[in-house]
Amino acid sequence: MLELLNLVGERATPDCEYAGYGWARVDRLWLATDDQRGRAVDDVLLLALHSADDAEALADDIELEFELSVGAPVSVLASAFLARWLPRLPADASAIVLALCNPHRAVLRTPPGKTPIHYAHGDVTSWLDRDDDGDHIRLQADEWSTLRAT
Amino acid sequence: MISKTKLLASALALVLGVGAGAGCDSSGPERTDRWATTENTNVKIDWDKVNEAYKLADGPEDLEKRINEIYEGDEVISVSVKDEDDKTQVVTGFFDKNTNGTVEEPEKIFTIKREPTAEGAQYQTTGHGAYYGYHSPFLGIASGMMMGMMMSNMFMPSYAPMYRQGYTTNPSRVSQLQQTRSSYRAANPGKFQRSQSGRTYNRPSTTTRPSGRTGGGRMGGGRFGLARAGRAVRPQRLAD
Repeated sequence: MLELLNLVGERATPDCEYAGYGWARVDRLWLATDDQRGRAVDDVLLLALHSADDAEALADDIELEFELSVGAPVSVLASAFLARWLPRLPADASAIVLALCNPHRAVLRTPPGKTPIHYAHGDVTSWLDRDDDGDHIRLQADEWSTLRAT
Repeated sequence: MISKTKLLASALALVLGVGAGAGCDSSGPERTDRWATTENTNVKIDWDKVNEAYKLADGPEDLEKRINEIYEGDEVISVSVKDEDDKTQVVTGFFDKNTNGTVEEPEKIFTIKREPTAEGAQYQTTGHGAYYGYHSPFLGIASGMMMGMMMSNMFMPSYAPMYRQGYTTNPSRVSQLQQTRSSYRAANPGKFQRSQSGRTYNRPSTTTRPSGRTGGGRMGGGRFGLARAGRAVRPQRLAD
């Protein structure tokens, strides 16, 4: 999971060229809006995804971009991606967190499922904080929103 | 360990939604907690050095050596050089994955195209595959500049294109290039700082800890956006 968030090696600031994507289960991570620890979210299904800064500006969706090992990158809308993939991923998490920049601050629609989904507005970066309590994984964004099943 | 083929299949399945994908199967004995991170995507290439290497190379074999010293990944970059006409030359860097000694589209990493101009010549480097979207500026060259034989030959009155038939790294040279590069890296540990991001996929997360960190503090990870503004071609949008 540390690899998924690029929290391996030694790095003072987040790598802006990191393009890895995937998912992981996380016991606890922290959603922050500044360099303080923020709000804890437990038992998480974490999805690390990317949007490009020239992605199409959509009011209620985010254009994801995937760099492939062979061939040109491809994009897909987050709504289509989540509709296709969330049913295939572990369904027993208490929360889903999207590590995903939302450059146009789209307000996402609630996808199917009962698990709350946390997503950001603006840039998202990952951090590993170490203090006397141990290591803490922090995702920092301008703002966090939560989608809940209605 | 998941094979590269499975990784690719998984990555494609991820975006195309075809099947569950090997990397997402959490029930099998090779359980992995995430999708495959794209191979090679995060091995940075210092394009300025690549452009400089082409300018200074004395020939294709020297260029191979220089390019592989620049590249920070594990793979060896093969090189193809082809003179398209009297002074237009196309250099292609590629991963010769099937070791057949020919450039195939999915294997391409970059192309450098050199063309004559009124003032001399210019060249431009374009990224492919994981490096798709990179375009160098047109880099001008003129007689009198410091450059290697490969470039300076074209300013000679007796110049004749040497690579009409094309030069391509012989697969048998790959191990030699690998050894040369290993020696170079060993001799220049300060120059060689391997990119960490996205390269250690499929390692059990329970054993992955940031190395050498002691005491308090914080470490940056990644940004979950891609700086792509200004690129000429946007990615293909897959069907919703």
